[in-house]
Parts: sequence; structure tokens; C-alpha cells
Amino acid sequence: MCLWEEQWLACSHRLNQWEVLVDFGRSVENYDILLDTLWKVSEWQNLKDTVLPKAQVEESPKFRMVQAYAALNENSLSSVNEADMRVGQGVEMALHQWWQLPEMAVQSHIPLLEQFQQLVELQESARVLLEIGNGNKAPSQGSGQLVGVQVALHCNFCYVLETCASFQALASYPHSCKPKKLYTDCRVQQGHMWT
Amino acid sequence: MDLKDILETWRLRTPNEWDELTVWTDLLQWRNHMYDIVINAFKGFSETNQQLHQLGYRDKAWSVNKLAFVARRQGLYEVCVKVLNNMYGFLTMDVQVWRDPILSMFYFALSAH
Repeated sequence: MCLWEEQWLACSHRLNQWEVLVDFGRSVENYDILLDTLWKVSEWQNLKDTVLPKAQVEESPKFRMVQAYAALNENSLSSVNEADMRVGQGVEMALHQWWQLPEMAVQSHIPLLEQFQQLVELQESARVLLEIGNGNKAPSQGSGQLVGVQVALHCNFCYVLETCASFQALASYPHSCKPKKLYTDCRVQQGHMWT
Repeated sequence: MDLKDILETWRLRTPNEWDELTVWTDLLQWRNHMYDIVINAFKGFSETNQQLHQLGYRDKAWSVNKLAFVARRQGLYEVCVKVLNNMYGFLTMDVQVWRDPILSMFYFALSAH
């Protein structure tokens, strides 16, 4: 893609012009763009029927996230489970990318942290849907157990990522008001914690 | 209740104000979708359980306003107006959540200038 096209895409992205991006993605059949924008304009059917099966993009946490979005949108027990699975795969991939990064925490870690946040919230969305579903009907014994296990797993994971999130918040905090040295110290220590 | 905890965590766990707006929209757009689901799920509770009924409305209003606020702070006035126009969807907000729509009108006015 030529330079100006990329610039234009980034620009429209920032200006929230999803409809324009969808049109553009369709006209050049760029599945990356379509995957990123279709769910934002609520074209779920289109996303599920044509884009997801056809898309031959690199396996990435982002792709898994879109699959999970589409699954969660269906809002049934099986689709929630599928979304959970996709999120799990996404987390695995993201972790894989994480340890390939240099040990010293720098700017390059931030996009991954953001993706982690999205993944956690997807998992929480699945919980919300389960809860709403459970509220509507009395839970049977079997599914109750399943949910129990999921809750336990989710809590553990949540706790870890909550800490990560506060790390991120802390990481940006010294930026504004503490001397540079302290900032790097914090970062190094956090780097240790990550490993 | 677990649902309430999650929604509360979502409010607390936002990106930094100076993070790129794309990060914000990626997160909040999905949340917005989830709020719609919550609102629809508790539609029938307006008589029996007011609090539950308004849970989704309240958080939806809060998150749309937050996104609009950040867009305005970053100088993206067009986006701010667009977010306020498109993301609410529910025009009939309850009386008790009016405070937030009023706030949004304020942002709207600020951006339009």
C-alpha cells in the first residue's frame, strides 16, 4: 500500500469514520480493514457470513478478538463458550509475543498491554452474558459447576491483569511529575515482575 | 453481584487521557455494545427493580460522555460531536440519569464552537 493511502487510513481511523473505512475495505478487499471496522458499525451478519470465513490474515490476538466479538454477539451458551476459547487462544498468542519483546520495558510493550486489556474485557463480557442468561432461567446442576470453574479461572486471571493494569497506570504516572531516574527504576522493577 | 462488579471495574479501568483515541474507541465501542445488551436484558424491570433497570443506562451514558470528553480534550471536535450523536441510540433516557445527558449537551456546545 502506498504511503499516502496508509496515512489516509490512519487519519480516518482516528476520526472514527468507520463507514468510509468499510467502503474502502470492500472496494480493495482488504480483510484486515474489514475485520477491524465491521463490528464497529454493527454489521455482524456480514462479518460472520463473508469476512470471517474468507479472511486469510495472519493469526493474531486481534483476529481472535474479532472472532470472539462475533461469537459473543450471538448470545447463546455455546457461542459464549466459543468466545471464551477464542479469548484463551488470543491470550496465549499475546503472551507469546510478550516474551519475544526485550526485557527492558519500553514503548513497544504498550500496544500489547492495550490488547491484554481488550482480551480481559472480552472475558468479562462473556461473564456478563452468562450472568444475564442465568438470571433469566434457573441454572441446572451441570452448568452450575461449569460456571463455577469458569468463575474461579476468571478471577485468577483477572487478578493478575488487574495488577498489570495498575502497573500500566503507575508506569505513566512518574512520567509527569517524578524525575526521570525514578521512572526508569520503576520500569526496571516492573520488568522484573513481568518475568 | 458479579455483573455490577464487572461494570464498576470497567468504569475504573480506562486508558490514560493522553492515550490515542483509537485505543479508547476500541474499548468503549465494545463496551457500548455490551451496555445495550444489559439494557435490553433488564428492560422489564422498570417497575420491580429500578436500580437494575437503570444499570445499563447509567454506565452507557457515562462511557459515551467519557469518550466524547477525551475526544474534545485531544482537539478532535468532529469526533466528539459524532460520538455524542451516534453512540447514545436510546433517546428516552430516564429522569434520574439526566445529569449525564445534560453534561453531554455541554460538551456538544463546547465542541460546536
